[in-house]
Amino acid sequence: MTLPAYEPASDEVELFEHAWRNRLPVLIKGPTGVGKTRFVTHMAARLGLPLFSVACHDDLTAADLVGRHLVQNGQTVWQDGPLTRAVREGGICYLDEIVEARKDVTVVIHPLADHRRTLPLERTGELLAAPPEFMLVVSYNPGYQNFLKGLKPSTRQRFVALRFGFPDEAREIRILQRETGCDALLARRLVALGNAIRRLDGVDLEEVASTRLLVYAALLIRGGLPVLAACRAALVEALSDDAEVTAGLEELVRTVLGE
Amino acid sequence: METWAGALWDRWVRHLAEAHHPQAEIRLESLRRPLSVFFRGVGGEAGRRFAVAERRIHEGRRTWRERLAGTGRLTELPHLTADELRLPAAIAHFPKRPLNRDLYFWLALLAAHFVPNGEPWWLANQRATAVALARYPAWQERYDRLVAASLALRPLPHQLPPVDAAVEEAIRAALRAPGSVRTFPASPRPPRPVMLWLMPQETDAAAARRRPPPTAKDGASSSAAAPIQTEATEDPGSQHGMLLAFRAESLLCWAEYVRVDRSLEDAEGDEAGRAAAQLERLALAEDSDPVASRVRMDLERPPAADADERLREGILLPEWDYRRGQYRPDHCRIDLPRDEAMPAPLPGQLRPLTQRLRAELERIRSERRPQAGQPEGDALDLDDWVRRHAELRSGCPVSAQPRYIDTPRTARDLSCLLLADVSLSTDAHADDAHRVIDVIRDALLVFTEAIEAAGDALAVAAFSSLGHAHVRYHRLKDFGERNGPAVRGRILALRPGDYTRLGAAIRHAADRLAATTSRQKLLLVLTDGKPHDIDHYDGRYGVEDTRRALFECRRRGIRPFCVAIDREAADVLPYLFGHDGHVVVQRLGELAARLPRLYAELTRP
Repeated sequence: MTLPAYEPASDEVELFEHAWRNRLPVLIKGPTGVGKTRFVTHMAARLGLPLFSVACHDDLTAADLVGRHLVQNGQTVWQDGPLTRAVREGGICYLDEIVEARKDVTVVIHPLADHRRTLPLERTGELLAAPPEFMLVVSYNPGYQNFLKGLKPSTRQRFVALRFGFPDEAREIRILQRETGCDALLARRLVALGNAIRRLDGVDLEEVASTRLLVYAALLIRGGLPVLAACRAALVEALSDDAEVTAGLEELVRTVLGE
Repeated sequence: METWAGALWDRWVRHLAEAHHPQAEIRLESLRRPLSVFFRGVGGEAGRRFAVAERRIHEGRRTWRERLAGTGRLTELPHLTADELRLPAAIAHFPKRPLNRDLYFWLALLAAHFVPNGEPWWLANQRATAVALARYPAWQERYDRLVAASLALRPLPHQLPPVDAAVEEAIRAALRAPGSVRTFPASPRPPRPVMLWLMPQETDAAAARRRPPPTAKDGASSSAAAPIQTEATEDPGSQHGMLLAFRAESLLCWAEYVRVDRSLEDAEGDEAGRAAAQLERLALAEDSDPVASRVRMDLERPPAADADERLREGILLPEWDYRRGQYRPDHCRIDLPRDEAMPAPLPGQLRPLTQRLRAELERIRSERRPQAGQPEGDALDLDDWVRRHAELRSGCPVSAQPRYIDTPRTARDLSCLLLADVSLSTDAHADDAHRVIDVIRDALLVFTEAIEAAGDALAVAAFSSLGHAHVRYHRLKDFGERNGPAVRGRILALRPGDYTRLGAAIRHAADRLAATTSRQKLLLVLTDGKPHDIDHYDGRYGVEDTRRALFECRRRGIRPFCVAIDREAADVLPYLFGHDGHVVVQRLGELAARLPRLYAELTRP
């Protein structure tokens, strides 16, 4: 099996390995599209563990994670959820955007995230003890200030935390070239554009250009789309609905990438 | 007939003289936001604002046509001040719109790379141009187009007197190959302004003192027909020269420095006009000395005198004394000023922003999200049904009552009270034209309009205080009151008050918020400083009382959140509101747009 490519920023790979060896859960925080999910995929492959990935949303309940009874051929069957499977099989359970999930989810992850490392299955009456290989990883984007949502300190305190930021220039150029096969000049200019847009963080834009968006733009350009059209679709319109802001962004694209 | 012919002639020569293409005109107003986005993106300072350049007299050489028409003297020259980039209100030099538009973006790009390091202006502009083009090579083509078009509007060197011709040659070379011109020929008069360059930077002090420029209309109404040579000069009184730079015997002319305050005694009398007409030179200077200093004193009483004073009537509130670790009962009185404001419409300049924000916040309202597991609703909760069915079969005891999925019309059940600080400190200037109070008023107006679109219950209030017995609480909009001219009138009538007794204001606001039946209650506090009042309500005492008031809020289920508009207040805010309970708005101009968006983010379901 080939390892999904990942370009480390600093010592996050070693940190993750240490956490796994010491059976500590990991919390990854950072803006959208900087490689949080890619990192977890990479680490699962590197450690040779199965990965159970769940994208959390506001209708996600504890039952969706733990499992439920289903009716099959007139029989009732218990169906494990992704979290239960990860515990049973000894793998990484990755809860992406944990703050989006409903509150009852925290109830099931708390006993897994401390020294107990257990998962009580209320409906079947089981109490699963997690094997040494099991690891809980959650991620969230701290960029949003929201009253009604947020990671409770009691939850946050159970994790070893890693912060992900936008990659530095050289690293991002390497990422773009590897992900899209584009030439060095285009990669360099797209990264320059990305960094120009990132200067607008919190002022004109709610969220700025992620590495993922730059990869999309590079893919469109490599596919033969004109540079301006590709950047308009992949970056400008993806970042803002405000016509005045997009007008300014388009000027930035023209300035960095040319006509 | 004479006037008709005169007007015709005037129009004709003006048209001839000015490179002016009204059909291709681009106005700064239409580009302000795109320009600022662009400016920040190419590395310009985020705090710099865009403003309209004032009209200035330039002594540069004019073309014969301009001299004939009497134009070309007043120009709006782009330049940088301490915190603004000033650009012409409109650009119509070129016959094609894209070129005029490019000129705006070029000036923004140039400004982002302009380093005022004391170099002569022609060197600094060349350097900034070279750096900008090296950094963004894709601009070269557009720059070349702009240079070609602007050179076409400049006088040809061979048509000029030799002194001016050398200067013109140097400018042309510097534009074509930025960085190539290292020496600049001396000339008795400044050259014709270069539209692709920024004017030399004013000193910070001069920029700060400069008052808003008179508009063209004011100029037109002045009765002086003959042009008087005016010049801007430094106030001699403000220069502390140690060196006599000239020898008195070689004095060729003599002038007297007479200090006349024209900003106060500026009667449009004939006398002043006549006096001015007799003068050969008239120098205008600005000085920073206020004519009279207003003195304001409030006697601060020692804390012991009123420590246990208990007020008797009115809306009374306790105050926390941290030294004693207990409340002073009935220590503060809330004054509710009478509503005497005239109803008013929404100011026109706020309408575009308001509309945009309303559209954004309406999305919150229309977000209806289904809720599963409800006792009644539009659809059967199949998940729940299957589970129950399965559990029934497997022998678990469950109730047979089916559950439904409901999409309630108002999933949001939120009340918000916005409490704005209008103490005297808001009388300070936020920028050249606006005071902090103006910015707050605009923000309140826009906020009320926008939140109405979200459909949440909203109350707006402002407060100031003058001692513990006079905490003025202006009710601008009550819960349940419809937003309309009356509310707007009250907001527009807001004036800066005295001090900031934050604790009492928060307690009273919390009482009002607690009276609503909403499940979620949000108290937004908009303030520009620390708790402060005359009777020893400052320092630790004020901070601790405010902290206590906020603690009471949280215990009553009210979430306080602070929007601070002063960086200096940032050090106490985490202590008062908690790390994620406050935000500091760095640029005041953005407050009106920022506040509703912040609200949307805070309360996003």
